[in-house]
Order: sequence, then structure tokens, then C-alpha cells
Amino acid sequence: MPIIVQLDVMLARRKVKSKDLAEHVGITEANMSLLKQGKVKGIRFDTLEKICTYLQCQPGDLLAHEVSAEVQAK
Amino acid sequence: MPTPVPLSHPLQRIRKISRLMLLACWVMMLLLPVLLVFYWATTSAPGLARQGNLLPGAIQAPLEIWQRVVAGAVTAIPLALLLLGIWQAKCCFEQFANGDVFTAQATRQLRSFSGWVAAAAFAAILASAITSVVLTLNNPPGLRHLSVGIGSDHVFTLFFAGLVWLMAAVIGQGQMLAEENERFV
Repeated sequence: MPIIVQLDVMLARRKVKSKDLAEHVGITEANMSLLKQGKVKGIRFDTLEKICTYLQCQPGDLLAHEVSAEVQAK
Repeated sequence: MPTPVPLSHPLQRIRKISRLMLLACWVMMLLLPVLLVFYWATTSAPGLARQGNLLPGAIQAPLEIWQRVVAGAVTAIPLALLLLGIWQAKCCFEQFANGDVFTAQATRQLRSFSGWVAAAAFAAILASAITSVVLTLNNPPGLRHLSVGIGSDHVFTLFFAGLVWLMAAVIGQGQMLAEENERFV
């Protein structure tokens, strides 16, 4: 998956528990876990906004794009 | 904490109506067989003639009990098929009443309901033909009937079954979209 979710890094930096973030955002802990692992289909802007507000960060701090070797070679 | 769904929300209305439909299914499943037995036990010959697509005066010999029993049993077949369909509808309404609208199970149950209703319509056509023979079997030779009729009620029932099948297919598409949506956080 080219989009890397770095939520766990930001949670560690801010010393915030997944459970607390999930409660604030309004999603289940299971979905939060899936999000951290990058196993979700997508993220709503509303959810992203709430995460950024709670963790006091930017969307770019949470998501990274990994360029594949093939694209880099081009 | 998930936001409680307000009473005016469409899903709450669906749940409420589904509970009423569930009750209606149970009433039909219990009442229809009783009404069928009552009908064949108490209705006069001219009234019963309608079941076999016959004119009121077509049954000329007095009706014997075995004729009522056999004809009643024959007309019970389409009713049984319809009751199987109503059972499937009941199961579907149970899901809707729980708020589970877009599920594969609901799609299957609705399709099954439409299948049983269509089968009941065809069986009713056949049953009425057989009933006409049974009811006029004691008539003098030359005055016995075999009557086959396809009425607007049969046509409408088949149309209704087709409509429900199509709605089930639409719900199936909705189920796929709902599953896709669940994978978004």
C-alpha cells in the first residue's frame, strides 16, 4: 500500500493512548487499530480533522506516500 | 461514544414499520390456515364454485365431505407455498427491526419470498383447475368440468413477486456499498 499511516508515531510523540483518541474521534478501538495498521479503505476528512485537532498535528504528520522502486526508476 | 439515532431518523421509522410487518406476518401465518379450513367447511356449493373458476350453478350434485376435504387440501398447497414465503419475509423483517438493513441475509430472504410467492401463484392456477374437477366429479356424465383460469390476481401476484426480487437485488447493491463504506473510518 503506497500510503503509509504514521498514526502510531504521532501517538507515541504526544503520549496519547489509542483508546482515548478513538473515544474523542468517535470511532471504535477496532477501527482505530485498523487505521494505525493502514488496513482501512480510506479516512474521512471529518475523522482526519478530529485526529489532527486532538494530536495537534498536520495531516502530513500522519500520512506518508511511499514511492515504489519502479516509479523511482522512471 | 456513538451518537444515539433520533426517533425521526429514517432507520428508526424502518425499524418501527418492520416490527408492525413482523406482527402482520405472524397473524397471517396463524390465521390463513384456520380461515382456509373454515372456508371449506362452511361455504355453500355456489360459493365454492368460484374456487374452481366455475359458475355458481355448475356444481349440480350435492357436495360430499370428501370433496370438500380434497378440494381444501388442493387449495392448501398454494397457501402453504405462500406461507413459506411469508416466513422468509418474517425473517427479513426481524433483521430490519434490529436495524440490519443492508445484509446479504436480507437479500436472500427477500429473493426467497418472491420465489415462494411466484410459486404460489402458479400453484393457485393449477389448484383451481384440479378443484373444478373435484367439485364437479359427482355431476352427471357430460356435466363435469375442468376449468383453467388465469386471473388478474395471478398476474398481479407474479408482478409483485418480480418487483420484490428486483428490490432484493437493489438491496444487494446497497449491501455492497454499505460494506465498502464500513471500511472507511
